[in-house]
Formats: sequence, C-alpha cells, structure tokens
Amino acid sequence: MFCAFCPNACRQAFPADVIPREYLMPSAMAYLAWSAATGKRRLDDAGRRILARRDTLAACRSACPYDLDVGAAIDQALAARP
Amino acid sequence: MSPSAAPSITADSPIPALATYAAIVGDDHVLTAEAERLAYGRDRLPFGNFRYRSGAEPGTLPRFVVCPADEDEVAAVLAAANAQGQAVIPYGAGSGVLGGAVPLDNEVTIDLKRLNRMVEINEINGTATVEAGMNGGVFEQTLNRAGFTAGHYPQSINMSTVGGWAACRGAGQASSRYGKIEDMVVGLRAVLADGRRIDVRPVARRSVGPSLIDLFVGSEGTLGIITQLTLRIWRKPQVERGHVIVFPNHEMGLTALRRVMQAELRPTIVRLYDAEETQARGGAELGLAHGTAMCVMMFSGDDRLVAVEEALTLELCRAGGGVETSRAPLDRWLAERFHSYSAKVISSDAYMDTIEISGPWDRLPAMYRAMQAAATALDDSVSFGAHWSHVYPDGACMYMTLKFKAADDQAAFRIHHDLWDRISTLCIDHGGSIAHHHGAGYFRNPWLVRELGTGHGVMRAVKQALDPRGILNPGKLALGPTA
Repeated sequence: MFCAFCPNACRQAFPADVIPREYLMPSAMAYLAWSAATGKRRLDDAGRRILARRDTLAACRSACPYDLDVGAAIDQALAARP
Repeated sequence: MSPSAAPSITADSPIPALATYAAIVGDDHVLTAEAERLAYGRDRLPFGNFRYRSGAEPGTLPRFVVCPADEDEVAAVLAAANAQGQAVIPYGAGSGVLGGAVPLDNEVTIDLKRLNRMVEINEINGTATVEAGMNGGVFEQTLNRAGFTAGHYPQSINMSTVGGWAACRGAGQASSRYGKIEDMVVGLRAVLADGRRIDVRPVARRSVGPSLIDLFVGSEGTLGIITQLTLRIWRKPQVERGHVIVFPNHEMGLTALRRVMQAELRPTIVRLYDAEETQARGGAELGLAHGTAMCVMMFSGDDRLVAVEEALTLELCRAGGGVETSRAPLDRWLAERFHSYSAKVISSDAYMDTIEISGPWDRLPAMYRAMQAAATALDDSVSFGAHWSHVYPDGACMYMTLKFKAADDQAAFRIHHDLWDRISTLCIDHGGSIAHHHGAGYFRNPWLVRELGTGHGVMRAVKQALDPRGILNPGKLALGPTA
C-alpha cells in the first residue's frame, strides 16, 4: 500500500520511453492492485494487462529509497483478492 | 468583464474528438482505458490521495489522455482542442500538492513527458535549454556530468519535471544561494490556447515591457503550455560544508537568520526548526532541551568564499545565542532530503498535510503563535510542527506540517478544511502570502482570491485575453467556470 501513495520517488530511474506511460509507474500499478484487492475498485481487462507488465518495475527496484519490491507487493495483493 | 466561455464538451458529450488527436500523436499515444486514465485522476494533493484511499477521485478522471512527442504536436493538439472547446490539463509528473493537475470536469490530460530532451548546455553563457517534460533528477544528473548544477533542489526533484517546476513557480532547498525558479528561467517557449507559439528568447535581462516569462512561470497551465525552458546553471561547487546550530528558541533563531540575510550572506541551505520539529529531526537523540530550535546550514562554492561566508554567518549565529552541535541531524536530512514524507502517513489510516506560507520577518513570530494555536485548538489529535527555510533579507517561508486522526473521511475532511481555512485566513490577516512555493492549484482558490483582491481581476482579464474559450486547465488559480 505504501507504494500506491508514494509520488514515485524512483521516477528518474525509468527509461525515457517508459516514463510517459504514467499508468506504468510503480505508484499507479501498486494503486491498481491494492484498490482491486481491497474491493475499492474493479479490475478490468485493461487493468489486468497493465499489471501483467513487470518489465517496467525492474527499474524501481534499485532506485526505491524505501527498498520496496513493488512487483512482489502487487503479486501479493492480487493473490489476496476476494 | 465577462467570465471566460465554458468549454462546450461535457462528460456526456460523445467523443468525436478522439480521432482528431490520434491523427496528431498516433493511436498508441491516446489513452482511453479507465485503468490507464486512473493514474491521471490525482496529483499529490493530500485530499486527492485521501479520496483515492477510499476508492474515489478528488474530481473526475480525464476523458482521455494525449501524449504528444514534441512542440509541434502540442500546438496541433491545442489548436484542435480550442476549436472543439475541449478543456485540457497539461501534466508533467503530477507531483503538485494543490490539485493543479487534477481533472475537475472530464478534461483531456496532455502528458508532456515525451518532450524530454536536453537541447543545449551552453558553457560560455552558463545556461541550459531543456524540454519541459524532462525529469528533474535526470536534468540535474545530466548537468552534473558536464560539471554543472541547476542549483534547484526541490524535495520532489526526482518526481517532477522541469516544466512543472516553472509552471508551479517552485523553490528548491538551496534557494537562499541559487534563487527560486523565477530567478533561473531566462527564456522559454510556450504554446497558447489556440496553438500559436510564443518564444521568449534567453537573455540575461530585458526592458521591453512587463516580463512575459512571468506570465507563464507560476501560471500552472492556465495561460499556456510551457514546452521548453532555458535556465541559468552554475559550475558545481568546489566545496560544501555544513553545520548544525541550536538556538534557545525559534524566535532567537529567526532573528539570527534575518541578520545573516541582511548582512548579504548566502548560505546554500538554511532550515530552522521549531521546538516540535527539532525534537523529531534529531534533537531528541542529541538530548536537546525541549523548546530549543535547531538550524541546519550548508555553504557551498569556492573554498575561499565558503570560508568567509561560513565564518561571518556563524559569528552572527553565536551573537544571536546559537551554539554549534553535532552534524548528525544535517547528515540525516541530507540522506532523506528527496524522500516523500507523506506516503507513510497516507498509506496508513492517518491524515496529514503541509501548508507553506511566506511572511515578513516582523510578522513571522506572531503568525507562528496564531497558527499553532488555531490548529491545535481545532481537535485534540492535531499535531503542528514548523520550520523556516527559503530565507530572504525581508522575510522567510514558514512550512507547517499538520497531522491528525479522525473516525472517518467525513470527519477528517471537516478538520482538514478548517485547518486550511484558519491558517490561510490568519496568513492573509497578518500580511503574508498563502503560498510560498507549492502553488495554488484549485485547493487554495478561496484564499487566493481573497489575498489578491483586485489583482485577481487582473489575472482574469489576462486569462480572458489569452484563453477566451477557457480551455486551459479551467478552475485552477480560481480561473474558469469550474473555480
């Protein structure tokens, strides 16, 4: 949940061609997974396709000042979905 | 003067415009899925994140999102939007904390991050020309590799864009040496609402009428979309040295800092903490007495210049009751200076916000007392801490951090609104400005109008002239029909 409300402190680590895709930023992906897992929002096909993208999350792993593993957190959130 | 015409496209309108934009930027760069648009329904407005925490938005989602590649595409997109009466919101990295990038009525968001080139570093003139969508941290790192620095270090440097810095009229942590963003921008290019482009050539100074640069720096996308900027840059400093000074109380610290700035000294970083923040930011670990006020300072530049400024500043601080102590709090701040403090609170069930104002030296102590009293009287759970940074010969920024708890969002929003209203009203009553560097977005609208008075009428007149159909970020800075 932390990443879902972080302003993407890792942003500068992302390749230039990924950066414009705001929905691929860790915070956006984490929010998508968390809000679906907690029943606050519905996860549709487009959301599932976004969350299936893990290539972009690799960049945040080394740049995260909080040492978060967003990919693992997303997997955990989706597994916990009711 | 009649208000700007309301954009003609509403949430219920069909989207005939989609093909128009796809033809300009390409199908791949028009985002329509709700899961894609969700990322653009908020910036870092705490109220917005409270709403997202409960599964809702602070406003609406954008109708769709367009990602132009360059200034030509930005101009074409705006020309099309203006012809259709389609409201748009320029979006950098969404790090603003006052809702400046939040859609309020199904606007189209224009994501500018594909405009991310460093155009030129001019080593003779000491300037850098950069596209507006470049990440702030990447910009600074690129300058560093060439031996330069922009000297602009907002906490959000890695989470923001250079264009966003200018659009929100931001200030960085080293502002007491390098200035604020308005001191750094010497030229810019922008696209107006109807697609025409304006090019303010970069020169050190000009005297050809009022500053056109200052029309756009701080306009938060309401008067035009900045596409490129030229900034003054500086050689990386030869040395950097830091100190931590403890004053018996913050009022003595404020007096010392006033004397430092009025002695024409330029410490690079100055942060004076009140009693609460002193304890929280390392004072407790050092065993500092409650009530004392800690000040972290840094100096940078040529070794000889640093030695002089450092000596004179410390002499003034000692004369003002300051005693030097361990560097540990400064080192801790340096390690965390670009982190987000709000994420930890907002990802729990608590509430927090920050309010930064500016005030003249002779009013700051009274402003602090009044605002602290008003905030803590509102609810037993409210905690209030403050620090002063961005210091000037004639005043300083006071930056308040407020945290509180509430049974539910409804109760929280009432406390949240009342905190803002009390503090902002007190600020105006004491002769300050309600915003030092966070901008105004839409969240500050009521108090912005009150502070500016007739001046807001001047802003509305400029808005009407530049954006007669009212398509540019309507409702922000209390301009437009959604205000």
